[in-house]
Formats: sequence, structure tokens, C-alpha cells
Amino acid sequence: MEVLIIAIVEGILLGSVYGLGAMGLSLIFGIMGIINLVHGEFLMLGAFTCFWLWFLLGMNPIGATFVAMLVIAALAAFLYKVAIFRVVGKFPLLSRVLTFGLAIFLWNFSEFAFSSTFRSVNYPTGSIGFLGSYLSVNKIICFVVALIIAGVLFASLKWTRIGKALRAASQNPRVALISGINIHRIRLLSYAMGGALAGIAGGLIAIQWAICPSIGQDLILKCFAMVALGGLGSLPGALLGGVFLGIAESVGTMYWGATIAGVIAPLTVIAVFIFRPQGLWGVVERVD
Amino acid sequence: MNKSDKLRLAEKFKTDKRLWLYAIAVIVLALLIALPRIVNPYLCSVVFLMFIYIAYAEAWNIMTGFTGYINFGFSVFAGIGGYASAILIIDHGIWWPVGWLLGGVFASIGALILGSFMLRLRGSYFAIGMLVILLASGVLATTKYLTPLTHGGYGFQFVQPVSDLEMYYSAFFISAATVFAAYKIITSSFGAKLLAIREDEEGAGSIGINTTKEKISAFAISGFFAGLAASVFFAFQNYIDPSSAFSAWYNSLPIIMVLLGGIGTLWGPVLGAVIMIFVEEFFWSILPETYFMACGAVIVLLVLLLPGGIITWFKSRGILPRTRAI
Amino acid sequence: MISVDRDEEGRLKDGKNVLEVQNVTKEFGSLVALNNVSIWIEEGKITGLIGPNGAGKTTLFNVITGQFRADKGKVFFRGKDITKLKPYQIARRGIGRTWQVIRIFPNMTVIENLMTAANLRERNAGEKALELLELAGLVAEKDSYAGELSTGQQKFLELVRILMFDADVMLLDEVAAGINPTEQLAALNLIHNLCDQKGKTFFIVEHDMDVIMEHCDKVICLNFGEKIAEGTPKEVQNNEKVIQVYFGA
Repeated sequence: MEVLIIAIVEGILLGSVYGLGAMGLSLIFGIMGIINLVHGEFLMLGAFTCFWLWFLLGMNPIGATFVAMLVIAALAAFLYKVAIFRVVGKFPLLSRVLTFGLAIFLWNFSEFAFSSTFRSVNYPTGSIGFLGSYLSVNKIICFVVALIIAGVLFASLKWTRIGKALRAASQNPRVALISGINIHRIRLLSYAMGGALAGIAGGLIAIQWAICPSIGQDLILKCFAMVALGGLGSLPGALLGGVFLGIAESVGTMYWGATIAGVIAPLTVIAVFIFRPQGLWGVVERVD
Repeated sequence: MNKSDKLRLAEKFKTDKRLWLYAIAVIVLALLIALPRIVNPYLCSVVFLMFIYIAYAEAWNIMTGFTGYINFGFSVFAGIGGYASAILIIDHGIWWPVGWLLGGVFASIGALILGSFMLRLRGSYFAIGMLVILLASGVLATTKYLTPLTHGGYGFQFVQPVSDLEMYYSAFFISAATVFAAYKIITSSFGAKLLAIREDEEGAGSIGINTTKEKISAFAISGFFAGLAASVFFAFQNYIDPSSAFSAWYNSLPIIMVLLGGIGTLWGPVLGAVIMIFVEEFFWSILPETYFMACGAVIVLLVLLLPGGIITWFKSRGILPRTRAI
Repeated sequence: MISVDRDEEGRLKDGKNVLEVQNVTKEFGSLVALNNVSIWIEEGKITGLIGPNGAGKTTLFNVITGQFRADKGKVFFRGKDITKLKPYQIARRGIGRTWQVIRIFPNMTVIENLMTAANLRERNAGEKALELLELAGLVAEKDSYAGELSTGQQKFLELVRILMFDADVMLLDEVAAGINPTEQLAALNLIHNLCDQKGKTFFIVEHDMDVIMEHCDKVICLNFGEKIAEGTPKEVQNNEKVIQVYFGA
């Protein structure tokens, strides 16, 4: 029984970090209406940024995650200004293929530049006893950071002017445009924010797990699962979806091993699409 | 032919440009048919691969190009086709043409099943869903439950009882059949409905088009040809395993080819496939490590600069007529 | 001659008005777009739908044609319940609609636009399409891309396209908007033509009061998702609530 509780707790701790990344995906979809297929690579690059900062410069890993957040936000902003803005609002096929191509490029670039060996960040903060077993403090710290970031995000969406503009843009872009909100800046901002969330989530992942360039593919799959659960475009949904997925994977690994646990994310997506496409929280009109 | 007939023929060639086109087409076809007898086996295998690429590209185009629903899971059907045909031919001794056809059929059934729930939802869900299914397929093929069928994570090697010549001509025939199917679709009212779905799905529904049914049909047809071509491909490879069957690379390949040649057109995929073969032959040997990276960059550039592909660009400039049959 | 039973409001008693909306409510979260709306449309007539922006006119259309499903209430077409049907099924039964923002297929040719609406079993779809193009004055443009036509031409295209599948009831959302008076007249003539000679039924949303006054047999007025007036154009024009909505404080 204790083992189960530990698995659940670990799932919550890890899932929140995943959920942070998923929130970025949801944000971008909610405001710009595009599926950011390069999001997995943002997470992967965030992880590597954190790693290299720690490895080459000896930076404190937590500090490195914040820097990673800024770096990936900058990367996202750059990509938006150069490429992505051209395909927002056009045939969805274009944005999907574009972000897909970017993902392939960034993934293979990383394989080329970083090689495919696994790396990990060594952040020895020890562990605390919990229910007869040990819980790594790393995971707790990352969880706290994730919650803080999520909290800041929600607060700013609710109370700042920019936050309200973002929410308006996601609900009704045309009206937002008329009421004087600069939709292009909003989109740039939201894409950068999505990147930022992915960047810091990636950094937090680097602290806890070994990373290599191909985790991007794996992570975007998880992001899809979380976003599907929470409803495309819902931020709290994405976060909760993350927690849910984290628990499912953690418990799944415990009982059935890692291979089966690896199928949980895709199965979740399929199941949600079949039975409840609007997610557990969202509202979506079906095509048919 | 007497002298006046020859003069008349020469006149025709001067005035009717299309006659040149037909003449060139005939020459090319004759060349392709005679190829195994006139060039070395390596070159033949390159042309063979080109046929497979043409079939892959056109099959992908039948779904995505015509309906606008981007299929990120092409390899799922190639994988199903490859596995099904290999298992049937090697493990069950089925005659190879039947085995290959059944590969296509199984892939098509897979498309019907997957499409029946994936295609009821909006394009976003379909795009994500197919990508997810692709990533999951690789895992599923290795699970212990399916290993007796699929020979597990290491795959299996085989030599199918097919001669090289038979493979070559089969690939030729299949690529022609795929292009022909695409031609039949795009010039029919079925094709018009698919294009309508691409233009405006809700609007199409409001004029009586059962969009779900049409999408699923296109998907099943696309899956069939994907599986069929893949069956031949894997027969040539003499080897199949989960990572090559559900390969991410061969998943993206049709996307590049069709994007390059002209999405939603008839000959665009063919053009893209031909170009791709050349590119692959030259660049793969020169810079293997950066090849995939370059392909990613090419996709990005294509979307930004030439979103419809080459043929669409020609059409928009009036260089090519705007008929759907091109 | 069989006399048809009508009630005090003129509604056919046996419920076989060609189109009937009964107590329909449609909500979007906390926004009530339609509140217990009941209307009936008589066959072979032109009925107008007016009301300020946001009154629920397009929502009503969407509920009738199946894009939205009513939360409460039902929609009947020739006595059969079509509330839960999908849009393409409703279209196939004979209800066609045009949209506030024109929705033809811009990258397909004019004749292809018509062919997409053809029934599979129709052998003479091509001929029918050409006839309709003549009606719309678009025969010369048949091979042009629909996106290259003028707004007026596109509106005509959208209008005749729903005749390809023999729509008997046509819901037109702001047919007169965005086109010049000559084109407006031509469009309305076409509508009257179809009405008188082929017995088609029209339900049109319009903001142009002149159009409503001159061409409609009956007018319904909505405001804030509720029906506030119904009757002949003159009656509705003089209805106090309507006057208040359009001119009042």
C-alpha cells in the first residue's frame, strides 16, 4: 500500500513538471489555433540548455532552468518572427507541416550537435524519508518550482492587462483585434510564453532524468496526452492532465514495467479522442 | 508511310505541343520497361525505389492532398502492409502477389478502423491522433503479446520467393496504378467532394456531403496503396522490424515529396518522388549525418516559400493549365 | 378540394407546416442565444427574420440546419423531427442555406462548386448545373475559379448551388448584403421566380427593411433570443416592441 502511495506521489511530482510543458502547448493552441508540433523539441532543448549551463558553467541547476526558460522563449520568439507568423490563420495544414519540419530539423540538429548519448544533471540534494521509502528532494524542488511558475502564469492571466488581452484573444480573436489589442504582438507573446513554459519544464526534467535528443518525440506524445485529457486550449486542464498522466505512468511502471507504461500516453490520447474529445474539462463542437 | 503522310505527321508535331508530350511519355515508359535489360542492377534498384516513392507519395496525397486532413501516420499503414505481407508470404506460404495485395488490404482495413473514430473529429485531432498512433505502433509491435506474430523487437529476415525482375515490374505497375487511382479520384465527383472538404468542411456538410464517409473512403484508399507499395519495399529489403516498419523517416518522406512536387495535384507527388530520388542518391552519400537535418530545413523552406509545391506554383503562374487532371 | 385545417394564427393544424421550430432553447455556457423560440414557416412563401445583431437569427438558422443542436425543443421538417440530424442529412432532405459570409469554394471552378452539391445518382448533374448557371447569369464564368468572381456573382453561385440538390426550403442569411441594388433586384427576382413557379419556400434574414417590407409574406422579429413579434410586414413594422428595439431608448 505504501508503495502505491509513493508511486502516486512521485506521479504527482513528475506530472506537474510535464503539465507545465503541456500548458505551453495548450496556450499556443488556445491563442493562435496552431498545434505546435515542435513543442517536444522546445522541451528537449530546454533540458539541454539547463544541462550545458550546469555542465559547462557550473551554474546551479535550478537557476539554469530559469535561464533555459528565457533561452527557449527567445528561440520561440525568433521562430515566430521568422517563420511561424506566416502560417497562423491560414490553412491549418501549413502550420502543422511547418512546425513538423522544424521539429525534424531541431531534433536532427541536436543529434548531430550533441550526439545521442544520455546526459544527466547531477544535483545532489539528497532524499527524505517517506512512508518507509525515500523521496528524492530534487523531485520535490522541481515540483515546487513548477507550481510557482504555474501560479504566476494563472495570476498574470487573471489580473494583468496583458493577461486579459491574452484571454480575450483566445476567446475571440476578431473582437480582440477591434478593441485595440495588437493581435500580432499577442501571438508573438503567447508563442514565446509557450516556449518559456516548455523551456523551464525541460530544464526541470533534465534535473530528474537522463536526457538525450530523442526525448523530444517522447515528450510531445506525453504533451498530447495531457492536452487531450485537459481539453485543447485549457491551461488548468493541461496541468491537471499532467498530474493524471504522471500518476498513471508511475503506477503503470510499478505494476507492468516501463514498456507498457510507455504505451499509456498514446493510449490515453486515443481513448480520449474516442470517448471524450473535448477532454475532461473542455467544450468542443464536433465536426459531424 | 508514304511521303505525304510523313509530311503531315511532321506538321502535326510542329503545331500540336501535346503530341510532343505523348511522344516523350512513350519513350520514357519504354525506357523504364526495358531498363532491367539495359542498365546495371544497382541503377535498376534506384529506379525501383523511385517507383515505390511515387506510390508512397501519391498514396499520401490521396488522403492529405485531397481532403486537407494531414496524415502524420503514413508509416502505420506502410508498416501494417509490410508486416502483413511478409508474415503471410514467409510464415504461411502465400503466393507473393496475393500476399502483397493482402498487405494492402490489411493496411486499408487498418485505415478504415482508425479512420472511423479519428475522422469524426476536427483536423487538429486527426493530425495529433495519427502521430500518436504511429509512435505507439512501434511500441505495440514489440510487446510480448504480439511477438509470436510480429517476431518481436528484432524483427525478422527473409527472402521472399520473388525474382528481382518481378519486383521491378511489380513496383512499376503499382506506382502506375496508384497514379491512375489518384487520376480517377480527382476527376470524379468523389474527388470534387474531397476537395470541397478541404476548402470548407462545414460548408461541404451544409450542401449535403457526408464528410465523414468521404474522408474515411479516401483514407482507406490511401492506406491500401501505402500498404501495397510497402509490401514490395520490404520484400526488397529482405528484413522488417518495428523501427523500420513504423519508421519516422519513411513517415516524413511522402510529406516532403508531396510538398515539393505539389500537394493536391495529380503529378506533383510523382515529380516530388523523382526529385527526391536524385537528392537522396547524391546527398545521402555526401553528408549522411546532416541529411535528415537538411530535410527538416527543406520542409520548413517549402512551407514558407512554395507552400503549394512546384506544380501548384506553375499553375498559379499560368505555365501549366489549371485543370485538376495535372 | 381538401380544406386544410388552420388555427387562429394561420398555422396548419396537422403540424405539417413545411418547417416548424418548437420551443427551442440554445445556450452557450451562460449566454442564452435562443430562449424558448417557436416559429413556423409556410410552404411556398417568403418569410423574413429580423432583429438586431446578436438577437439569435444566425443561431436559429444553425439550429435548423443542424450546425448546432438545440438544448431544448424540436425542429420539424414536413412533420418529421430533424432536431438531432447532422447538417448533411438535413441538407439532403431538402433544406439549403446560404451564409452571412459567403461560403463558396474559392479554389474550385464555378461549375465544380455546383457539382459538389450534386446527388450521386443524378445522371444529368452536368446539364442541371448548366441550367442553374443560366439562371444565375454565370454561364460565361463556368470555368473560372469561384474565388475570382465578384461578391454579387458569388452570392448568386451560393444561391443556385443549393438548388443542385433540389432544396425546397432555403434559409438565406443576409442575401441582399454587400451587393449593389441592381444585383439585389436580380437576386430578389430570382427568389420570387423560384417561389411562384417552383413553390420553393424562403426564410431570409435581412437588415434592409425595404427588402423585408416589399418582398416578405410574413416577418418574424427576434431580440435577445426571444421572438417578440410575428405577422405581416405591416403588422410587425407597427409593433411597439419592434419599434422600441430599432428606434427606442
